[in-house]
Amino acid sequence: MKNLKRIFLFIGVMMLLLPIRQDTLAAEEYHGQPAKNGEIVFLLDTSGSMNSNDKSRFAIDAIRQAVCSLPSNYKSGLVAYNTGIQTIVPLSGGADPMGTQLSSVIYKGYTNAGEGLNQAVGLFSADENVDRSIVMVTDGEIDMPDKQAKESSRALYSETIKKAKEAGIKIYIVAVGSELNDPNMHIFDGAEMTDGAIYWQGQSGNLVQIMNRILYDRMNLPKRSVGVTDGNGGSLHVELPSPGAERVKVVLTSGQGIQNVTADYTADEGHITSGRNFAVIEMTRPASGAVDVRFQTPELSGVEAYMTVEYTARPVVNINYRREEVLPDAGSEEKSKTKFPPLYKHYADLELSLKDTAGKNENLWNTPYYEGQSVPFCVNGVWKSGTISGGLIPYSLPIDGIDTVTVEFDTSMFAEQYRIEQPVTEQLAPPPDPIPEPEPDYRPLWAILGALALVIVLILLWWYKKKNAAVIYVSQSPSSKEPVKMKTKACTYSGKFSIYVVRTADGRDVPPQTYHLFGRNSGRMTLGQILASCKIKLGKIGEEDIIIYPGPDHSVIIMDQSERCTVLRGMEILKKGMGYPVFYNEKITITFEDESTEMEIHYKNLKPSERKS
Amino acid sequence: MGNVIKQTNRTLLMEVINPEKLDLLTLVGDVRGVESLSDDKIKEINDHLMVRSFDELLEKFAPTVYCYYNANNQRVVYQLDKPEQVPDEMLTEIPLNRQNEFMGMLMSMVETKRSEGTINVDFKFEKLTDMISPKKVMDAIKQNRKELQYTYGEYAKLDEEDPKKRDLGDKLNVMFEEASANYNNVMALLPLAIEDIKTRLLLGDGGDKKDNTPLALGVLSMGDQGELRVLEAPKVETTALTTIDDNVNTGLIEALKDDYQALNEESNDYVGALVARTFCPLSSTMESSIDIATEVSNYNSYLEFYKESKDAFIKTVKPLIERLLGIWCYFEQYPKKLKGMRPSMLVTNVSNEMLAKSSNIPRLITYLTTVNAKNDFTNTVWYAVVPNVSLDQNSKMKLTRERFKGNSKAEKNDTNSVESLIRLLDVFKDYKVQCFFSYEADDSTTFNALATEGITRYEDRCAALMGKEFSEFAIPCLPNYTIIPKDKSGVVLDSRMVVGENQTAELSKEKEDIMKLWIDGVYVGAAYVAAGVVAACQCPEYLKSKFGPGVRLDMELPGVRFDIEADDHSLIACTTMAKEITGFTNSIKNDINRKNFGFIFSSENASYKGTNITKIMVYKARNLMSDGSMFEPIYKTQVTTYIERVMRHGTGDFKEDSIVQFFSNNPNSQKSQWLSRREYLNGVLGAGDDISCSINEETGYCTLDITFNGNVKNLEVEINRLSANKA
Repeated sequence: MKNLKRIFLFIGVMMLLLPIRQDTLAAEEYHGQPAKNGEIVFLLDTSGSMNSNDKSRFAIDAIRQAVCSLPSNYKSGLVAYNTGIQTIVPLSGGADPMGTQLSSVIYKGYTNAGEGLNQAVGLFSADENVDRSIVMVTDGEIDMPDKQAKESSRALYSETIKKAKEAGIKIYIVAVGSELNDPNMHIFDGAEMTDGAIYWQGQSGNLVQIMNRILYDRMNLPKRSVGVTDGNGGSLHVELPSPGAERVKVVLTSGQGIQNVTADYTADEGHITSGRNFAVIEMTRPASGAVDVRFQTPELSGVEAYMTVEYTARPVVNINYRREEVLPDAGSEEKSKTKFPPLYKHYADLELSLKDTAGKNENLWNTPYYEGQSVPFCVNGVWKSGTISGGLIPYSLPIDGIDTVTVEFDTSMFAEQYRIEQPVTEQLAPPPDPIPEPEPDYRPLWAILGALALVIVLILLWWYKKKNAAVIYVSQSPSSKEPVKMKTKACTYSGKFSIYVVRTADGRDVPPQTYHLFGRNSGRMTLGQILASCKIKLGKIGEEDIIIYPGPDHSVIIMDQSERCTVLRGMEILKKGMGYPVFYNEKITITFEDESTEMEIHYKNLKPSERKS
Repeated sequence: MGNVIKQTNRTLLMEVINPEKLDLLTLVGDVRGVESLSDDKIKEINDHLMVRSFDELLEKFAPTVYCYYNANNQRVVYQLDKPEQVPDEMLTEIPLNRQNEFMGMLMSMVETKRSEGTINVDFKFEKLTDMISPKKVMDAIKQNRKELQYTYGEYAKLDEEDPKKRDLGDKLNVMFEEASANYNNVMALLPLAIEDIKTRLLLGDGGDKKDNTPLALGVLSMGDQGELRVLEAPKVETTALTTIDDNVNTGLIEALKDDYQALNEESNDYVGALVARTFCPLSSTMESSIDIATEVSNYNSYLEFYKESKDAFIKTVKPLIERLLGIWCYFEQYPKKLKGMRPSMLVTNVSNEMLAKSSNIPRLITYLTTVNAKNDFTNTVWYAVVPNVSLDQNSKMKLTRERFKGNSKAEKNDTNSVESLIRLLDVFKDYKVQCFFSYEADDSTTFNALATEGITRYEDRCAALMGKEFSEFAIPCLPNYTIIPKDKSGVVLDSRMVVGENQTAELSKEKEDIMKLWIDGVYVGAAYVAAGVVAACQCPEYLKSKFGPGVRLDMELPGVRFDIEADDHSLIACTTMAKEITGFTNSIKNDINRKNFGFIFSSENASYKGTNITKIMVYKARNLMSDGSMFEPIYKTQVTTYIERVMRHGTGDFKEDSIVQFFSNNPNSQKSQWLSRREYLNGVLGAGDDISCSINEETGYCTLDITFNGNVKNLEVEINRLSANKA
């Protein structure tokens, strides 16, 4: 009962510690702790008592399972001890020699855990930044033939524990059998002292499960659960998260044994390591995106499948440069009026991704699996978290004052293990700012345009005057028979017309009208225009063809361009198309084309007072 | 005395006197291409249209009423226009001259009223209106026949070879001519016949003779029994008139009968005897037997017909008579005996509406260009008279006014429209013709009406003429003159005759048997009198006659500056028209004085140097040009025009250097001469007047600032440069 209480107490403490640790991990995510290498030494108690407690040598199978499940950055070693050291497999031995050694292990003799632990601790390298762990599989306390040797071993055990603690080595103890039911037993000091953990076969599950818990829960080895089956054998289809993996392991474990494991995959290399309760399909640089696994289990029991994927990758930083003009604040409005060059803020729009170093996949995250996942990354020492979108993590970085950008990722939250050659540093080469072109001096342009406008105005004026100044032939006095050409441009209208419609075709009486010529634009006018402004409607009987121009000496030039009108200046009939000057107090008599309507126009002067009005 | 214009009162009258005579438009003729008229043409126009007296007017225009008979309704028809569809032999022309009893009556009325100096309410109009009764006609004939009888007696006594007999023969010819005017138409014979029957019946004498008058298109004739009738068809019939048995004046009777028969191809014994009886001495004895009942019946029918025809005659002739009276009044303002600048009148003899037509205005312009735009001022027109302007201020030309229901009098469809007046004024302003116009003359525009209604009505009517360029030349004259008031225009002709108990004829005493006709009022437009007074005042002789020797007058200068409103001028230079009413109320006079509106006559009690003024005076003499507060005196316009014309004449059409000389301080300059006569009544510049000029080289105009009593009036004239034009 007392032991049970201790166990529950321990579990409770562990339960409390777990979330704390998770919080720590969560906090670390933002600090970007890259995945460490690992060294793990399995310390197997091969004393004679194991024959009874591990008759089926499941402990050895579990160690093999663990060794085969380790990722490639973990080195594993083995120390098998009994009275002394039965066998040692150094860390650089690899899985196959270890399997050979393990298969040759014989359970016999005493339990010299002190020496075993001492040998195990001695196997670790002196490398820094390496997770070091010892998985000790034993079925009892240190037991030596004599008391002195026992104490010596115990002392050595205790001393080694201290060393291990100092070296940061965690010791996980797997208690096999039922003898080690007291948590206060000396052998367990190794776990307690090094912040390790103690697992009891049975209480903590079978050895397969305990080993999985040590690897994945305690050591946080990356893995992805790819399926649990409860059937009697079956198949498993495992999709790889992304093409281009360096190494893939699919680990099948079953407490009740697993047999006839086959796998269908394509890879550069591959083999299946199987034990009694496990099988590991290991593929190097798989070519296919999925693995189909078939297996059999002797009994109806659950089969758990994990997949560990390793990528060797390199961060890819795609940089797009961007600049934004800094708008002047209100206070500097006046300054802006003075033509200062614009100020820019420069940004590098980063597109972060991972590229397979083997060159099989340019963007490892460009798969639906990774889409939307959040990835911590560090840019120039500042950790951020970004979301994968389209295989890329966008990030904008102000780059004013910096020349390089250094990027690294924290992939620890992934179920896959990334071996990333990071950080990567890219030189920032933003395109140069558009050199604000110096304010162009438009004065010459304005001068040219002004001159051009002046020329146009002059041309228009010339044209207008020319338009108004029609060259007309003006009749002269009878003494000079030849008409003279005359331009009307210099002439302006003056005086007024008194208009009397002497006769109309329908006999109606049209009231006399006065039309002021003075002040009107110089230029051609028709009698029709004048009559229209006087609201005299005659009905297009040639009035539009009686043309009036301003003439010299305050005269008006009357020209008859009609076909059948008869125009008289005094008693003189005007020749068609010829201008005739009419001076003040002279009168024009017009007989229109209907041969009925007659009109008299008296041309009179205006006094200055009348001109003002 | 420098330049003087000797004629400043020629007046243009826009009225028709006799449509059968030549008119201004006809005489001016086609003006296409013609700037002005020849001197011959002007002389011809003057010969036909220009008159210097009323008698000359009667002679030149011979105003006539045409008379014919309508057989359908047995009525006599009078017409001022000669009816073209009626043959000449069916027409009777009745001359409207001083001998016309109606005309004579009206003129006598004016003269009598003038001499009496009584106002309308006191004047006994009926005393004069019976001048057109048959009795008065007979009285006039009696006077004539006495002279005729006497002259013929003298003529008969002399030997055939005696040269004096020929002189008397000439005299007799004239007398016969006048007498024949009475017996060459039946209508004129009516009062003779009426009085003849009346005389014979009431004396117990009588005679019944056959008559026969050939008829064509309805001719008034007397039947066999002497009954008056109008026959439709011509009828040739010989008659034998019972000869009179007077041997004393056989020669005269025969002469009269011969003359009658010579003048009337279709002579009639009855009428011949009637003529002989009428112009024979009363002492002659006549053999005749009288059928009293027939004679009484004839008498009554003659009287009835006479009344009806007289009525129709008056209704027809009244507008013309009013025109003639207006002209008479115009000339009456200038005393006949004076030998000075006698007003002259050019009668267009064409209606205002006709003259104002667009087709005719160029003719008027051509005429005015000829007479007014020359440096010869002999025929210059200074004034115009447009009477009878419609009171409808928006009246248009050719407006046909509807007759009032039940009103049988001739409608005034011959009024001059305001539109035509405006058209003429627009021409007049260019030729500086001051236009006197008056509104249609009836009992609503008399002194009486003005005294009761005020001048507001006239101001409203003149609104369309104000604020225009021609306003300066528009002179509204009011009120119109009353010759016979409408309510006192009844004329008693005679009473019906009845057969008494003793088979004797006697005049009925019953009121309903009194034959009376109504003239319906005769009025004269104020424009005639206004123009007459102003024209008369232009004559220095006239001013001298009015103001006497005590006033300084330059007998060479016209009276252009004479301000009839000033001082006592209106009392002295009053009209010849007798007062009509007792006067205007003070409120109406205040109203008139507030704006100084119009050319207004007043019929006021006034005295000058102890003598009561019994004539109508000029109260205001203003045109329609206003400075916003009051209207301008007409003399300013005339002085300005005068100065401009003298200046044009004196400076050789405004030569620049001559203008300088004209206004220099040299004692011989025109300005100095005018200034030296400032104290003269007819000085061109008055006491408070001055004149200065400034020449604007840029515009080429010379601006004269003529100061009238401190008020400046500008006159702009274009200078005549010797060098090239600068303006």
